[in-house]
Amino acid sequence: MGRLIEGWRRLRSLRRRNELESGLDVEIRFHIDRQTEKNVRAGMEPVEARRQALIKFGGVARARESTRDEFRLGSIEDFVRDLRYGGRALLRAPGFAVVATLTLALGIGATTAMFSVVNAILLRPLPYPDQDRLVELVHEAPGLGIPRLLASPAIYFAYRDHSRAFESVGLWDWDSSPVTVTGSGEPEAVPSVEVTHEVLPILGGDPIAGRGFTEADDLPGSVPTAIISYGYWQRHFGGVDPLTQTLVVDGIARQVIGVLPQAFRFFDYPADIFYPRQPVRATAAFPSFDGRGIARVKPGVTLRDANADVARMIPLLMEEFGQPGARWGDAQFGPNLRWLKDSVVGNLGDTLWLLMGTIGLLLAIACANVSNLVLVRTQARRPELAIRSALGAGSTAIARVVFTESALLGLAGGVAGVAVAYLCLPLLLSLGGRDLPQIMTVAIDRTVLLVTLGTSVLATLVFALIPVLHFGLSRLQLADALPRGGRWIAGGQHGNRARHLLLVAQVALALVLLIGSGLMIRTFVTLRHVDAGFRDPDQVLTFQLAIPTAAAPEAGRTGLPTPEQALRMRQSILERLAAVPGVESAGFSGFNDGLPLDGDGRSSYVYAEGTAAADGVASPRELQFVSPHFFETLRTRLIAGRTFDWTDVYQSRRVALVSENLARAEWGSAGAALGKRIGPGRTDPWSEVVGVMEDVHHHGLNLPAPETAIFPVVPSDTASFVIRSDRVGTTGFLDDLRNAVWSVNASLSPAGVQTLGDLYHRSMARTSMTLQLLAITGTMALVLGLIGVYGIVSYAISQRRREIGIRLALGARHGEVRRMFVRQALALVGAGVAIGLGAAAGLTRLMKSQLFGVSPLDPWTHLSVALVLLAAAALASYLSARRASALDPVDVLRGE
Amino acid sequence: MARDKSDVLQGTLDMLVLRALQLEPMHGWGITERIEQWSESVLQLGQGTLYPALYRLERQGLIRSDWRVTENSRRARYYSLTPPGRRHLNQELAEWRRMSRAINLVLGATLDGGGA
Repeated sequence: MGRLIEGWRRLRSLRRRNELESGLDVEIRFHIDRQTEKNVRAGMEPVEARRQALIKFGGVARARESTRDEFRLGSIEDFVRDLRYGGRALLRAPGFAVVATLTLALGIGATTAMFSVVNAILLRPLPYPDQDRLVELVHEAPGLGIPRLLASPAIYFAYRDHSRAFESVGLWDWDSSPVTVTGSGEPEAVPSVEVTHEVLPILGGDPIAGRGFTEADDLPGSVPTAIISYGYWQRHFGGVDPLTQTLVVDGIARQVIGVLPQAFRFFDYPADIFYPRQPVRATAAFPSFDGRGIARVKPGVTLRDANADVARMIPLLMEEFGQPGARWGDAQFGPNLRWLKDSVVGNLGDTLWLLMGTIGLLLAIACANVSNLVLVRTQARRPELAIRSALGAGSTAIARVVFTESALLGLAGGVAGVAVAYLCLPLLLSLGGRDLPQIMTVAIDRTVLLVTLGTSVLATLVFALIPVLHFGLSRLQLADALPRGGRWIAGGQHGNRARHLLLVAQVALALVLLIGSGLMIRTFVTLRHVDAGFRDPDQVLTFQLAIPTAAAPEAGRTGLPTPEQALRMRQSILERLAAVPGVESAGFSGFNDGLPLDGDGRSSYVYAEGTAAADGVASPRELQFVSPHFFETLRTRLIAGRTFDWTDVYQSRRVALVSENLARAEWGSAGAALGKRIGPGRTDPWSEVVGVMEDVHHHGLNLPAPETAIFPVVPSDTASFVIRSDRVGTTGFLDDLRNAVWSVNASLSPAGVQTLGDLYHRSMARTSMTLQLLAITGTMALVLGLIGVYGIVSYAISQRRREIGIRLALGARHGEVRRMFVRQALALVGAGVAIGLGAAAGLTRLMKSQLFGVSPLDPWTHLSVALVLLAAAALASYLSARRASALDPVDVLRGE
Repeated sequence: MARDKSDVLQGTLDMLVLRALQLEPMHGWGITERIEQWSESVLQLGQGTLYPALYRLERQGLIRSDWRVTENSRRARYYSLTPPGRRHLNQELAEWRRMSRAINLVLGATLDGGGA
């Protein structure tokens, strides 16, 4: 406080400066006059009296000067002067200033951009009220080795009835999405979600017009209703009063009862139509996991409490909904609830923190580089600093000169860094692509800018530390400032040691980043070599086609086809599609989740007849329902037997295909599977295995291909079509396909058009994002490191020109001199590589979850990257040594 | 630099100035006169150091100054103690007395010991 007040008084005295100056003059004059008068009274001559008075005062100028010192602004004024001085000094060395600022801007900018992603996705809460009380209902079955089972109507009913921890429980799914909206103009495929009446309130989706769903809407047989998104209201109804409108959704006329707020997002799904899920208690069964459950826990309830509550309810659930005869004890069903936020972010956190750490290392390298630049520059200014020192500047004053310049650089770097961040962010987001949850909007906001400020200050302290310590502590001798032997003596062994230390650190950090990139490259290559179970996916176009159906009695009334008629319609469409010029083959699979790597799928229990597992517990297996020619279109190989034909489909023959791994698991070999029978349980009819297909990766290339049972397509509202053609991606092809669809039924609309290649690449999106970011930072680190090596060699040579000249004059060969410098540089690089290898051994373990098919400690990667770095450093130092050592000894010695 | 003087000397000078101002406000020349008079001309203030001290003390809030007209109608800056200055002086005086008593004791003891 006292300091503050004194600072204020100093500031005020700065403003009153002129007044103080003239006041002081008046005061001194008055003083001397009085003394003169006194002397006169004592009997002196007036002239002598004044002279004595002046003598007694002891130097008017000195008194004035030292008094002025008291009312000067002191440290603040010094600081402003230092800043001005530092700014001028930087302007005189624009090359140094630009390079240092850009290097810092790169590091700070990359850190800022990456942090804005981390902040938006990992640190900021979800945009839902009470988001810290929302959980996703997830279960596990450790007995079957399954960590993640979702929810179902049975689970919804049981938890709604019995829960103590939950305030509200809801169930939703998107199995019917997209729905087809007809009745006004062209048919439209619209993304949709089925929800129970609790779901939207749990997510804070209160309609801005109309009402939300109520329990009455959830009862089967109630008046069909729908709530639409704000965007759909604007697009589809052009903003007219939505509550008077009716939407024909999959053939059912639904009354629009509400419009959601513009800002409302249903996770990352761009759903436009929400309608009641209407679960039926009578048919609800456990275990089944074909929906998503969401709940809001009561205030103060922890995840552990909620899990305990679910564990308590599971016996009640089994009692009411459990299927008779099954022994579920071995499965050990249990709760595995997750906070909604964790559920949305998934394991993206690992990746993002890894990348954040990577960028942090890059920033450290940038700091080391700038630190080195400041050292060199300050070495060059040593004569000037020595003169200042000789003129009375203390060591703190010298340190302040160095630090002020660094602070200016840090400030410029920070400002430029924000600009770099704005440029980098779109690039970063495009690398992340659809892997990043869009629900959390990434932006450079106030939090991010504050962190950037902190980063800049920290970076400044880090890179200024070594130069400030070095020059602040070392005794500058006046001799340093004097020209000796015709040139300035520059530097000393201390400066070199600091520079060497920085180079070692730089090389070590760069090696860590390069090894990380190397491991990611190997992961990527390994993934590319995984046999996905289908070939040339870029030539396979896929889309979803929903055909609204109605059961037989209603079908006649509404004009909708029955499910069987819809199936025949699909066959006609398939035939028209196959007839489109350039189409090689076409097929479809039932439901909207029947494609490999589409991020979804369905699984259930499939047993082999006569095996012990049929009586007990087994893992669920992947289920697929496909049309004839589906696998031919994907080019999935048939290992044994045959695939389906249309007779299998229409005669509802009890036939099945199995994946090779399922065949091996049950019967030991693919051939042995033919003629065996599989089925969903003891009570249901068995299906005969007529063929064995190659394994297909359904859930990711890095995950093992699931054991899959494949049945002929059954009637369903939605289906995923696959069309193989070398015309995929060319203009007009999609129109030809659409026309083929419309030639069968003009009210249908293909939705979600993409290639199988898109699915394939998306499944590698995270790996490629990590790879590309690591590769970019690794390359930058390598370049900065090599610049460091080059610089240190040429600097060493410039310092030892005279010695080189003498050596050459005494008969040393250029080659020997060069080798001497290369050897010295490589000793430093070697030390850096050794430290880097050690650090990499520790740090690469953190990226284990990102790797596939390669160990974090893979010696081949570690050592080869180290060798590459050594070789590159050798080349850089050689080039530097060759340029710098091409000296003519005569010139050098004459120059001295 | 002015502030590099030994703390003891500077502290003593400050204390003398404050003490001189304890009775009444005075101008700079008056302070030198007062100290010279009280010290029976032993302490001749180096005048070059008086004014820095006055400005410093004012900045520290121990004294304040205002312009007045003297008895023979000249403008002069008069300094007076502020309440914090008064407190500060009392503390300094107490401390000084404690110290000088201690030093006297030590000097006296040495004399006795030397005489034995």
